[in-house]
Amino acid sequence: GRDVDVESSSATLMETDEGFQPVFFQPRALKNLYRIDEIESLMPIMDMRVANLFDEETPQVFTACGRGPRSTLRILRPGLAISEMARSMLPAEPIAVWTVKKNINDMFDAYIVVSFANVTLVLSIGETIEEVSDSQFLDTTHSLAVSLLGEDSLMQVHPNGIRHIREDGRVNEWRTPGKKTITKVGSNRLQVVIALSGGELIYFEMDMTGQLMEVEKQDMSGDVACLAIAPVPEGRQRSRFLAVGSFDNTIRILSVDPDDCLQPLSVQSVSSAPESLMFLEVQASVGGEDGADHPANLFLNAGLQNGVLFRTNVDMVTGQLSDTRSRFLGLRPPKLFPCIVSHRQAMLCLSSRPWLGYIHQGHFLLTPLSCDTLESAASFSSDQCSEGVVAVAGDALRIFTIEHLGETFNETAIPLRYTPRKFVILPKKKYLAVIESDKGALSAEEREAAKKECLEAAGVTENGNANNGDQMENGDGQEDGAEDRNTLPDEQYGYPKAESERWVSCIRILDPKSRDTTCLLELQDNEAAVSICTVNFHDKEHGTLLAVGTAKGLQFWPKRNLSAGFIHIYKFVDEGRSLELLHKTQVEEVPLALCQFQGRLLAGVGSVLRLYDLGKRKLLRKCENKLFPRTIVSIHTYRDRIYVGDMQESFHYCKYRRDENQLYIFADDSVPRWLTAANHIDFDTMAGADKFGNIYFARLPQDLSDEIEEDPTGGKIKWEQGKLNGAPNKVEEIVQFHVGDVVTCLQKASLIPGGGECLIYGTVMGSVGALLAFTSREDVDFFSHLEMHLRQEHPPLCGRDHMAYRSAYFPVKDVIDGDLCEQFPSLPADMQRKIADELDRTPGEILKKLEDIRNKII
Amino acid sequence: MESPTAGGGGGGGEAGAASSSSSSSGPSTSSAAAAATASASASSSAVATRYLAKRVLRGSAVLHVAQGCFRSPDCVDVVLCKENSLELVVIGEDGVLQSICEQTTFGIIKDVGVLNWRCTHFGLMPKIEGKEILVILSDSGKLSLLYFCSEMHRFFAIANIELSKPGNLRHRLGRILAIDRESRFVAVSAYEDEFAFVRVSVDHKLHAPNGEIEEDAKIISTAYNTSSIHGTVWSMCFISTCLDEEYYPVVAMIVNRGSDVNDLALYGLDSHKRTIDRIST
Repeated sequence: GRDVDVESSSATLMETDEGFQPVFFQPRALKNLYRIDEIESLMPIMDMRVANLFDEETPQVFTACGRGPRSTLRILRPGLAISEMARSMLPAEPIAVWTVKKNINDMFDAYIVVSFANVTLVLSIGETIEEVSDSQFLDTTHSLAVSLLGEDSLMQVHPNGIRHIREDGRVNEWRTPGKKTITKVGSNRLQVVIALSGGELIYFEMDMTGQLMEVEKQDMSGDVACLAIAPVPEGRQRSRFLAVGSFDNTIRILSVDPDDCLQPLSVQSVSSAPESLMFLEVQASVGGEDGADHPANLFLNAGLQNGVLFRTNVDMVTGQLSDTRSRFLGLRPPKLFPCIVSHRQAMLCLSSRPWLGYIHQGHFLLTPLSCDTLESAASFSSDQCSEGVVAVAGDALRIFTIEHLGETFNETAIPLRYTPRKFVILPKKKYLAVIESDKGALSAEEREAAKKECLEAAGVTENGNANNGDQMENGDGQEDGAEDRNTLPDEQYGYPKAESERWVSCIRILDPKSRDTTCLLELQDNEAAVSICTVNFHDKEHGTLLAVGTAKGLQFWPKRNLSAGFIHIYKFVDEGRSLELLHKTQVEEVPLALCQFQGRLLAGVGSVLRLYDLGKRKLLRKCENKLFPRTIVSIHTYRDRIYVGDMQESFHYCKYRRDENQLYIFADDSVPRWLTAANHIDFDTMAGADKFGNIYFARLPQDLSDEIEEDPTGGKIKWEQGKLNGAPNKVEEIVQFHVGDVVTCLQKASLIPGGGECLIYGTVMGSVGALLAFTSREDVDFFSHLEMHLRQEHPPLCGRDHMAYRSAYFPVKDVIDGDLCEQFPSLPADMQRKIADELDRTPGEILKKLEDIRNKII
Repeated sequence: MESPTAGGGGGGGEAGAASSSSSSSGPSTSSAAAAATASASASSSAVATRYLAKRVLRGSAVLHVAQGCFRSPDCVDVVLCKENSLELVVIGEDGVLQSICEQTTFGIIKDVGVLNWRCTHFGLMPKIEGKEILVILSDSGKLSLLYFCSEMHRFFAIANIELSKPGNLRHRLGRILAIDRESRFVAVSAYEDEFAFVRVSVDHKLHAPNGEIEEDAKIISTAYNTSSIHGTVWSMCFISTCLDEEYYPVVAMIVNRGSDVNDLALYGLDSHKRTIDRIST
């Protein structure tokens, strides 16, 4: 362009006595483009742990992501993120909250009504939210329901009656007979049902003049637990369906039509007494964004006392209930509230944690919200916040919006200095120890100093061009440029490059709760950290220590080379918040794997597996085995068995005999695998991933395992000669699956409380997946056949054969592709019925099974 | 490679003999890990544990972007391609990306393009009337033409044109895609050496003598190949218009032939001989 801006180029790199000066990229800021949205990415996931460090109900997924200036540690929590707009303290702990419009055609709500134990507070919504006393609501009692009635009148139900406030200010009050009180309310825009103490139902309806008229009474057999009326269908005077929950663990559908008012239509037994009921209507759609042509559907949702959300389909004509679903939400009975997200009806389920049930891309999703327990909630709409939620928790009134619908997790990012390589969770203090390293980079201090120098030089040049700048842009360009140049983010433009053989690295202690770095040790002298673990040496002098493997002067091109490798031993000081170097021990190769083993440290140093003990000035070699083929990249241990992962040759199973002080390999794999991740599954089984995007399980056959454990002296194994220079025994590969992306980390964990333990994997492209073990033969058969049918009827979009894809390198074995099965709902209805017939089930049953298996994972 | 058996035979033997009476151990009990089922050795293979593999968080690194009118002629949609899934998003009024649908491709997307067939091929294929066609190269070795079905609310393939075998071989077609501005030709190249023009069109409906439609219209394609690139292809684009007489279409290509600098080469389809010729470098 014609702007007078400072230009830099690596072609003008100036060589000085101190070496090449770094070149900073200095573009001017964008002037004609604005950023409107961005998509977060975890690419690449370098390491991952699943743990509950915050004592929340569900564990968090900690991932080390990004590279260079975009390095972050991300904390993933299951659920949708909320964005809090306001938070106000209330004089006491409220029990319920509602929002209400004055007119059905109003765009925004007029009042927030908060009910306490004995008082009702009315807040007006305007530029600010203020308490008002002229709303005509009765404020000397607590409220059971507040809503808009008809087109322009308000209704308040309190224990002693119903207060109907007309638009012109007139108030009609209906009072309860005798000494009875109202216990439960169900209402929609035109109909109201109340339950009195003792179990009497009274039904009201709004007549043509806008008056609320009592229509019918009915005695139920016991107290009523909850009530709900379905929304009024469009163009109708009333909804036909009233749902009544009873303490005998039943939900009844009663009719409120004039000819059979309050007569039962259907009844459903549930596993516990219902606490809350709500009808959710899915509007009819014709090829819209919701998906295929669907008739309108009415769903009854019930929150039960045992923490389960129960959902069922209501037949629009007969009121029969069918196609029931259940899901455990939390430890408290869910309370159900309507709200609006993406301009359509949704449902908030408030249990020990809040959940949102909503429709996204044509599917109903039930996702937790990532926030504290909420007591009550209502939809909220105002000039500043058109689609929000107002909720009460403790003694606070909170207004928030729900963002990023459709996401499985929400993220919190902690920036790091260099590319994270690995991290460990420190067991007692719940801190994280992260090792970071970058090649061809400047350390942070050097970069800041060089940046300052460069900007000063640029300033001089800028001053030299001041006249030109003034002439062309009246000085604004100069000022803007100067200002912007100092704030260009490294995340967008990257760090300047140093000499290509230069390494920078650091070790960081993080408090994930406060997101603070409590300790940061910059490694000097071209050292890069490559491995990390905690170790408790058996002498107990120091307690838990941190072992870090480093490499000095590591080069990959033109030939792999290094000056030296080291193993650093650090002591935790200041209650684990800081590190102090005990000593460092030089080794001859890169120590890419470290692991605690029986009170000592096992290290994979190049192709040597070595056992170290702690000395006063360095680590002491105790035992080693030099027979590994390439480079050891992972070590796992269980009792006296050691599972060693080689960079190119899969797993080797080893045993350590303490009495003879010998490490020997008794089994290995028959297939070469370029390992990128490894995890221990059980005594005989290891899970691994290779650099071609495959996940596999290697298992030692049971009889071999028994034989090895029964051999008291190990003489048989020790002297047995394997074929082709391998180990005498071979593990079997029992699971094969092509993920399609390089897997960088594997972790055995459960993502939900009470859920099945899965093998969680993270990949280079930033995705997270799970392998869930089936527990019943019936499920295996069902999903196997469903997968088979979907391979035939629903081939992949780009013409790839699905089985060939999942068997890209090794034939797929004992794994069913849940992502393919998940595509069953997107088939045409007749195709769904055809496949369901083949499986001797109905499409609804298949959908329910798919939902159940998904809920076992997350 | 050295023998995997531990060395020091003599010493080891003595140590083993000396300690044999004091180091006996019973068979170990496997830990009952939830993710795997321990099984008796006799029936180990019969009750092997099966697993369900499921993605819980899709990768969100966007590798390719395509913009076009996929849903209807009057909307502007964006397709984000992420390694092995594609997502259709629309830019909402408040500037926030709104996801319409997301589909797993069960294959790795290599490149993406858009065929603008809104104003051509009238009346032949009702399902693609007024819509643009998404073109995808993937490791299936096929050129996939996808349209968005508003009824089913997702993309469907109207054609999968086989160019090479599945996989990621350097010399097989399926890496870089370019589309003629007239949307008559698609250029496909491999990582190295091989290159093809693919002419894509819609065939007319076949009519029986009595006027009934005998066969629906379908996508037809003709491929013209060459293996004479002799270098690594970095980038391609069409530079021709249909007014060129001798060569149509013409593709400009950045090729590296092993030197430190890249070549800019022009390749065209000879209008008469129907062969691909190098026009200039």
